[in-house]
Amino acid sequence: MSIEYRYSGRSGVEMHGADARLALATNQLREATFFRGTLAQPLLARESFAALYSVVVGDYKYRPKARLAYRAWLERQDQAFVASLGSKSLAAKSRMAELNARLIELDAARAARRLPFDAARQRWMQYAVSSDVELNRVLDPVITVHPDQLSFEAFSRDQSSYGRLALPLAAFERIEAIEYGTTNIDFSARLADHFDRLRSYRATRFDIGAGGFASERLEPKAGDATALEKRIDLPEGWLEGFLRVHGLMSMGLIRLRLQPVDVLNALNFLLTHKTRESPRALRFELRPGEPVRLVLEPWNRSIWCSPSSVYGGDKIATIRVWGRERLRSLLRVLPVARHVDVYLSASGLPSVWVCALPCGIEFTLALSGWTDNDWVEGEGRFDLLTQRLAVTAPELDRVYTTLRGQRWARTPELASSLGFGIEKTRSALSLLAQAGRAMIDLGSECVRHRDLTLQAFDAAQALTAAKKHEASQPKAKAAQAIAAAGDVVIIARRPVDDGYKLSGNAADGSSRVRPQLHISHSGEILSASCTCAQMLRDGLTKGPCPHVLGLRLVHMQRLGQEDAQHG
Amino acid sequence: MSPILLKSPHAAAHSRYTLLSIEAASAPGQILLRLATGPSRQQLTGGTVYGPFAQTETQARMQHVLERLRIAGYAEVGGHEPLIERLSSLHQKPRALAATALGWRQAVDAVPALLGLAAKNPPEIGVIVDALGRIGDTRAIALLREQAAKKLLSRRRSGVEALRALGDAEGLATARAEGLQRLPDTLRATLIGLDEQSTAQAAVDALCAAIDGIDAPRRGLVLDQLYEFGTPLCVAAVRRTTADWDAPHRWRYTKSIWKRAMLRADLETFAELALAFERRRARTAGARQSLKSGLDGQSRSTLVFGAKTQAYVCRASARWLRLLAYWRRDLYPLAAAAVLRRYGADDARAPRALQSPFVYALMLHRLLHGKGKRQRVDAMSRVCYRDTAAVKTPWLLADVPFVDRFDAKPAAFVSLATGGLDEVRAFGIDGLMRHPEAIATASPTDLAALIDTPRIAASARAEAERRFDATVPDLKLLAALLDGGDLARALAQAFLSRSASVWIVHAQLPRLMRRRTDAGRQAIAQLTQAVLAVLDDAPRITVLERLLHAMREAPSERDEALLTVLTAYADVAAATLPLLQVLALVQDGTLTQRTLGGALLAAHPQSLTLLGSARLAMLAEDEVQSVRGAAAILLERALPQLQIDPWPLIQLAESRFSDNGAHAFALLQRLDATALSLDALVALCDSNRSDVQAFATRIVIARLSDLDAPQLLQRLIEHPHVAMRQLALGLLDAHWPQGTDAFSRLAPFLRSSLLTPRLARSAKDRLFAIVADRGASDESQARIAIDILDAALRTANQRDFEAIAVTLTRLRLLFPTLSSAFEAVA
Repeated sequence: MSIEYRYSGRSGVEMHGADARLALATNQLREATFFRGTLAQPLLARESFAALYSVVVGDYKYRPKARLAYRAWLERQDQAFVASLGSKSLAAKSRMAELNARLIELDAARAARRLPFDAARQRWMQYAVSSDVELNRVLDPVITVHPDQLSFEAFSRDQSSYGRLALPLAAFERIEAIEYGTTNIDFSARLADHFDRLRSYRATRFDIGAGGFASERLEPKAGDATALEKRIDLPEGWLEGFLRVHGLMSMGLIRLRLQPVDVLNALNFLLTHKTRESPRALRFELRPGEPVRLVLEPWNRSIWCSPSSVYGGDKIATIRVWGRERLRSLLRVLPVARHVDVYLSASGLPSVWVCALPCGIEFTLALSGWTDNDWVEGEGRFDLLTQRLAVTAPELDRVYTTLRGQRWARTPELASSLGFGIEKTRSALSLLAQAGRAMIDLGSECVRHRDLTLQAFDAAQALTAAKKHEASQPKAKAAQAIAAAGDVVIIARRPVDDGYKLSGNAADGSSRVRPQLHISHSGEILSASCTCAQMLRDGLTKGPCPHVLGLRLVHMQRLGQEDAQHG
Repeated sequence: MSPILLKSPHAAAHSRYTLLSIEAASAPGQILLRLATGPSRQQLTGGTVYGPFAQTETQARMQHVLERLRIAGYAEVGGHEPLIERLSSLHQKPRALAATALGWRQAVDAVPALLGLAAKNPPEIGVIVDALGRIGDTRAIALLREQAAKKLLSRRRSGVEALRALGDAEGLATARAEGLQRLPDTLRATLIGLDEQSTAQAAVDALCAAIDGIDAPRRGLVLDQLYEFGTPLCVAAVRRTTADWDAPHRWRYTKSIWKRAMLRADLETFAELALAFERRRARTAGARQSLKSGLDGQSRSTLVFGAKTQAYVCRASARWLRLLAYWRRDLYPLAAAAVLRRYGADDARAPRALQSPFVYALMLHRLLHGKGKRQRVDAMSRVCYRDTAAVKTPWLLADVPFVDRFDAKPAAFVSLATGGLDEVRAFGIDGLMRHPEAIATASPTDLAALIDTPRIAASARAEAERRFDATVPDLKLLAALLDGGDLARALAQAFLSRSASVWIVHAQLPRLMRRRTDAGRQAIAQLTQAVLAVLDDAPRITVLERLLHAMREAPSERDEALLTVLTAYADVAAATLPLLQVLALVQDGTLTQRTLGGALLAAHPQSLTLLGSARLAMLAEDEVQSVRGAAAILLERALPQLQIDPWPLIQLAESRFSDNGAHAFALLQRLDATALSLDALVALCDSNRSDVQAFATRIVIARLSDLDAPQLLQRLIEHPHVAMRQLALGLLDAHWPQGTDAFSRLAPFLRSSLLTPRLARSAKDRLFAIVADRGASDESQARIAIDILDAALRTANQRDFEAIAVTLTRLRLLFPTLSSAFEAVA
């Protein structure tokens, strides 16, 4: 899959005395989307964009050095050694030694002579590499203009972090022009430098439009000159990466409210301490009614968090999160944040960090279970947790049309306005998220319309693609097969305060296993276990097993029937 | 007339074979007949000479002797009868072999038999048509035209190439008309619009561009069709479009072109392709693809250019050269030279066991080592040494077969002497030593190469001297010499010096300056500059205008020499162009044009006045170093204006180009710091560059007394960089206004600074001091101070925590009504 960008201008900031203009150039290949307003708090915007840029260019994957030069040198040494074995005459050996010494001298002289050239070449290489990275690797953020906020979404270069900046319209003093829609914005290292020059004593105009900072024009025109074209080849399943993020967000997550200083304490320690020892997790020690204790492994350094982080659960829990270095993306935004909401599921599973800033600005950082297990190609299949009821193409189309009209909606309200059951609406929204047509906003607890791709929405195609996608997932297929064959039986279905606790029995080849599931009223999996080999080995780190999914499916079917019975 | 070998099975052993040949007599216009005899064809005696006879009697005398010999029981060896007889064989293979042999022998007497066979339309009809083409008898034209009109590629190819060999203009015209219809519309239109007899660069470029515009799967067919036309333009374009020649959709057409090249003896195309086959051999396993057969139209999964095909085409190329040696002696040395001179050291591969480094270079082996005993070709068509001793045995000139063919065509030695392999060059040089007169046939490029070749350099130099006329210098020769080696270039420089007054004003000067090699370009640039230095103003301007016109109107990739000269005379050249045209070069030109534009811009008399400092600052961000350099020079000249409005420099200091930023910063340092406004100072402080920040810090500290310090601080505290925050913290205590309002404005800065990692300890201490001091002033400020400190109360940094705890305790003691997250327990 490749994504093309074409910009008729470049993004940047220009300053004239007491005025400044931050202009973000939009992708000409996308629908016309624009916005013009005056920032009320340029400093907050500056810090938020700096955090988003940090996510966009972040690459924490471990890549061993190729050591090509070293290997070549080693090979030459081997060859020289083998060659020396062949020459037995002392005269020949002394002549060879003499020639080698001369060779070394000449090499040194050549190196000295080529020094300026080598240095220039090195500089050029750096420029070329950084330019190449920017042109071919950095994914420009997706921006969506909603009626209540501007949303900037981006994946890091290693695709293990997802960042989303939500700028509410309240963060603007004045709004002059607005056109809802989704597009990309030109985002470069130079722009990041420009952001740093935003100041509150300059009236800062914020333009999102076609022309970038070289033009006042917001709307694109046919025949616009092209200032920059990018074509980025994305790994297979990149689109699924978005879905997985939203799949995770639709899970029942533990929410902890930390203060910025709590996170900064951990980050400050990590900035000054390095280790190669394992484990290198950030451990959350959760005790009911007590503030959270963060433990930095392997030093076992404890950080007691603020009283606001009191854990509301009823069981002691320990959750480990890996890839903690990625939290550095929050360094710019933490000093100005009011609080940080951390959403956790289980050890080794992704976590979501939502920083709340003044003026309702929110910065969301979603981290995959660990750095190498990225959102796009990693093994964690959280989309499977959003298994859904059957939705027909006309029903899906109605949900899409309504959501597009409203731009954002909460599931119960949307369900009642459409006359659908909540589960069906949730399933339809999940399908839309999978098709890149909707996104989940954790902070506002709503679903927003967002067309990730340029093509017009076709409900039938979306359903076909979803079916193909499911068919390509062996776990989902197996879950559906055992559910359809009646091989999953709910043994106990106990309503609890926050949902249901289910215990079941499912076929696993010739034997039977016992899946157990704690699921919220809204269908979110709060915890799951199973006696099958996969869950005993990996837990939920590689997604739920077919038996848990099958149990959930049967439960959902029963909920659907209950929906229908209650009208 | 060729020698005729005869044999008598009944003659005595010592005279079983006899060879009748003709040689020139010492007297002009007369010949001698030589009759040699011997027990075998290899052991003939010197023979008896008869004559001299008048040349006009040659045929009659020969016939007479032949008749006498036939009466004596001798018959011609290799006569056509057995071959013609074999055409009636029931089997296809003997028939095809006989037809091929008759074709090479140009056996006119076999034409009726061949036509008779062709009338039966046997499977080997293509071979028969090829043979008829080689024989060149006009009786075959009807058949050949019929074949040329066939749809099947192999038939059409044989038919058209045979017609070409016969010189049948009418048949070829018909074939061409049909061929044009097979071309895509766009390509046909392009081709019709071009002069096909010309191989001018522009025409070839245009045709190649049109070929590139065709879908890849169709491109092979189109190339074959163009090659069928055989016009110089089409052949040149086909030779240039060689990429992906072994791709599955291309290979059958590449092979077709290679076969056509052999049929029409297009030596250059043959050499190009045959070497490409050898070079690719064993480097690819081929590609498997479902392809439609040309014979039965069925699609099959076919391995394209696999190992067997690779070996076959390499063997067939070498075989064709060998056949040339026997039957086309005049062509053989030229074909061999075309192939041999293309070999280079890069063709060697890492040898394994007894394999030769040129293990797959079958043609090299046949042409250069064929007579020697050191190497052999194994069953897999690889060139190997016979034994380990042969590996160490050097190559000898005696290893070269068919040297007599080369001696008969010494022009071939010229290109051999400039070949890429030592052995090839040695053979060529040796030949030229025997035939120095051949140097006179060398092209300018070959001559330039020969001048740098040992042993014959003097002869080549003498030939160059002979050809050069200082009053009418041969620019092609000069260009070739400039592109040659060191000696050739030195000679070129000598020639150029001798004829400076002529070439400097020549209309083709820009072309002469666009040399292929860097050294050549440097040499001509230096000479041109030297000659221009002594020219009068008027001719100098004319020359520069000519160069400028060439660079503007017809830019080339080899414009460095023009650029060097024009840059050296930028002041003169700039005066000939309006500023707008210079700017057009800078903005819309190629890289070289933009570089020239930069140089002209710096030298243009109106640049500074018309552009202004703001526009200059924009140009200073250009990607081309020369343009940035020009802007830098102009900015330096504009320093007095920049003193009044330094914004362009301040912005330029942030340039993404380090040279630009450094230059702007250097200019900033030359400005009068005492005259900079508060806005300018703040802009300097706002920089993201640490050296600019340090410079601004020094000015701020030095001028603090005469600046509006609160205003300055109000701006400094918004800086995101730690260094500037520390500067602000250092100044706050003394210069920030007192009062609750002022302190509340400061609170966000203090809070975020407190939470900023890696703030210096001294700065943090100052921060705590400010908070404690202001908080102690009154209750409302104490409230603000407590809020600031509460945000960082849970810090894990012990010193910070102690400072916060102490400050909060003091504030709580001072104002007991206020609450805090911190509760001290006694």
